Amino acid sequence: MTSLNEQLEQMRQVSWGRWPKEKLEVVLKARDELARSGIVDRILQVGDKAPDFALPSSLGGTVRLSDLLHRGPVVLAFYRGHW
Amino acid sequence: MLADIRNLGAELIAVSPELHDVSQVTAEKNHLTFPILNDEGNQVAKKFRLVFHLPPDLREVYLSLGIDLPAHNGDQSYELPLPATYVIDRGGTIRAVFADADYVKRMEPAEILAALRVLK
Repeated sequence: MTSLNEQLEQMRQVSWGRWPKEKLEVVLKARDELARSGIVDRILQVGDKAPDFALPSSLGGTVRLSDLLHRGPVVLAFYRGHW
Repeated sequence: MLADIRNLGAELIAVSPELHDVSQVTAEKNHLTFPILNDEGNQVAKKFRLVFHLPPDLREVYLSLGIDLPAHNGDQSYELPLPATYVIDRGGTIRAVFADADYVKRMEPAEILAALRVLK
């Protein structure tokens, strides 16, 4: 079975094939700078307490992390946007 | 995938800085039944230390590709969260995490389910 990351990589290759070279270079440079910034090593890690929060939900109302955790574990996915 | 997560007694939530009228389109287009939460100003992402600034040359490239972040997010900050997946146990402790500076990389669904099975 193809893994999610293999599928995502294939999608990326398709979209990159449509981009002009100079735009691609800017994207790659920014990605490398972000990697070098060490941000991944500074984010909250395994063993840390997740800070509680309450945010407005697309399904209506407000979702509070601690309320969900009363019912069971939570998978929390941060993403940049739909674009 | 969502059914697998719920079968393990867990819930999935997605968090992005996008305004709801934007993320609503995502939810409807993809028939999502889990909540997308609007993290205005990346306030929650900042607590997880995920936020970075988009460099000016990349802002220009995104805009030229039709990606208007101030319009999507409702602010001029050009801040974004690193895409990251957390598995959090009932006690609020982080039990698994995946994040990569390469923005297309994600935690494999099989890894998420494996982490949840340990918590069952």
